[in-house]
Amino acid sequence: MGEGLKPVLKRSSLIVSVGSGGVGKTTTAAALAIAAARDGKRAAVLTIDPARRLAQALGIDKMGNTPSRLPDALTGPGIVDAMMLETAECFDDLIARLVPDETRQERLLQNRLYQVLARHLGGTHEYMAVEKLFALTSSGEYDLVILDTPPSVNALDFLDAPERLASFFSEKVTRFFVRSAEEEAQKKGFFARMKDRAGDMAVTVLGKALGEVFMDDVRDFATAFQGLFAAFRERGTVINSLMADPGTSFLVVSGADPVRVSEALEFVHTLRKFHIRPRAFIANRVHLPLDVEALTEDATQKALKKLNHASNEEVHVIHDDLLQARGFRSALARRDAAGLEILRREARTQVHVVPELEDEVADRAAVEHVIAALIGERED
Amino acid sequence: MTEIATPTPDASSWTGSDPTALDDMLRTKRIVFVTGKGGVGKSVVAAVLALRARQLGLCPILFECDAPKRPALLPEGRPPSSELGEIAPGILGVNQDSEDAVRAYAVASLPSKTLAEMLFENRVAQLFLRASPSVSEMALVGRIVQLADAHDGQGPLIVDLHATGHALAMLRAPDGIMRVLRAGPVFDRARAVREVVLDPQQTAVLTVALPEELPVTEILEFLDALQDAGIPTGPTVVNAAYPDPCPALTSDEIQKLVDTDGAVGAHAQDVAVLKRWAMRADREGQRLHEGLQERSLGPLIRLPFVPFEPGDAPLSAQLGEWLDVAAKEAGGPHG
Repeated sequence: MGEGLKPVLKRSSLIVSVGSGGVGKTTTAAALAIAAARDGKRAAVLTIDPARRLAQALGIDKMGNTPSRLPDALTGPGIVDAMMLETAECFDDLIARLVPDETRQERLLQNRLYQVLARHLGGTHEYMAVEKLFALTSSGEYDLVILDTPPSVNALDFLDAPERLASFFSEKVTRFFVRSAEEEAQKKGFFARMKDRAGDMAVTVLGKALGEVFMDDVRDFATAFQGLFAAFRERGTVINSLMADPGTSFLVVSGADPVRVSEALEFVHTLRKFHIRPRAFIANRVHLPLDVEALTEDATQKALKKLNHASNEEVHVIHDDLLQARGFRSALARRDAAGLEILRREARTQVHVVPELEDEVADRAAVEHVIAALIGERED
Repeated sequence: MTEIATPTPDASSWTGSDPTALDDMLRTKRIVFVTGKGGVGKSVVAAVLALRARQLGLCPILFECDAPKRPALLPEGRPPSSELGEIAPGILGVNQDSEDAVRAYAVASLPSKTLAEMLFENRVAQLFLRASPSVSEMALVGRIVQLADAHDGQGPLIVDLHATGHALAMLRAPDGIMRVLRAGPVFDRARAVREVVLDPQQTAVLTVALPEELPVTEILEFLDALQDAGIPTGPTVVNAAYPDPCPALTSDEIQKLVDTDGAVGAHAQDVAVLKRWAMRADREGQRLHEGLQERSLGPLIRLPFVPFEPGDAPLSAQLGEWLDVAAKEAGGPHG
């Protein structure tokens, strides 16, 4: 396995990077896209993170809904397009695409329920990530799409999105709300319609619980979306099979300490529910073991003499500091070694290690560091 | 990398923040939301707050939702279950399942239990509830307020949320629901919940950041988003700030030692690395301190970095004394 993640990059057309966030997921996604491009691929990286600084470091002003191409010098001979998901904009784009009729389009965009759905409520990010992913993978413009999933411990939110999307637009749900042409003409009030539709228990219950005005908005919404439900559902199904495709690789990005590792392993559990097995784990920012060589106070004293730090008291303090610093870093290394051991035992797939950087480096250098660790000659 | 002036490690003005602000918060607020990006140690901070609340003679509840399985963080502790119960001596905890929360919330906010049951037995209604994006967020925040009401006067409800985005969605959920519904019993309940979570007398949102460049930028953006949404913010905690490993030597002197052969050089290298991390912690802490001042927010409290040793109880009792130590440092002269 001397090539690190290279074989995974070669065989994949979609890489989904999951992990609990704060573990360098976005940087890793960017690094993998650049590595694939250097191998001649046309790659796209879709991130949910507003990683403006990372964007700047990679030579683009900002990431937005439309692709920004990374400089050739960084990615040649291939290309990398970076995109950030902006929910409201994305939803509006979608409506514009699906509803060519301008009057209908306007009516939908003005619908209160739509506006709240698109802009104010949780969960839409996941819906739209799926939507954008569909657009990217079916465009034929890219050999490899890398999706940096939302930083949630619960990968379910994202994986559930197609199903939830489909059920939200399912006719089982929506047919109760869609106004018939006749009703549309009469503009009957909600409860008048209720009487027409005796037995629509769900609507009655929801109406009582959620209020009549709301139910009218739902009906407007459902009526405006009429005919689009099938398209959404179909999309949900396509995404489900995309997730199960052999060209799709799930990578779990994690820290190395035992707490982080147990979180990462929890992802495996979640993925299994969707019949997905992660292709590889990436343990990021790992504190590697240090060679231990005993330090005597004599040696410290001699070295300090050269610096003109001769007072015995100070030698003692500094010697202690030296020992403590070593102890501190060794503790970190032991912690990470324990975490890695658990990960290697439980992961049942490749584990790739990215060491913690000793120096503070610019983001660009950090990306190169990740590429070197994952694609270079470093072995697991 | 952005050019930022590098202050010397001991010239920082923010390390003196008085951690008694945390004590005041724990004593007076009914709900404390602990938020921050993934990986900043929110759960550790939430656990430390719970320990501290207990030290203050309160009975805190540690509230998590859909938390992954992981080792207990509290000394003599066990992971919380879906039922509220003691998770460590004197500390209650619950790991709320969000689907259960939706059910519990519906029962609480609907005028009759029969109506709620009908809602849950009806397949269509259930699909609708499950598919609507903000229902579970609203249910969770509703559940939190419900628990806090039941626990009134006994101690704070400390909410450990997974990521900033989720927290924001949750805190905005009542507004979202009210905007859509405009009337009805669920609307009324959302308004009642909103009054609690947006009341600075009752609620504080505590933000946690790591003293690194990106996390600090993100936490400032998050605080802006909270302020825009009218959500009351509490103290900000800088977690895992590396201390200066060797105040007696300058960076230049350490570098000279690094160039020494043998064990001295190797050990000095460790000091050099830790010194860089400590300087970064101070620089970023300083930037966060200034960002908070610009926004008239704060205070900023520093928790030192403690590496967990494998085989240790994950959160040793020592951590509960962090705040005491920090308080002493803040009170006495520095360095």
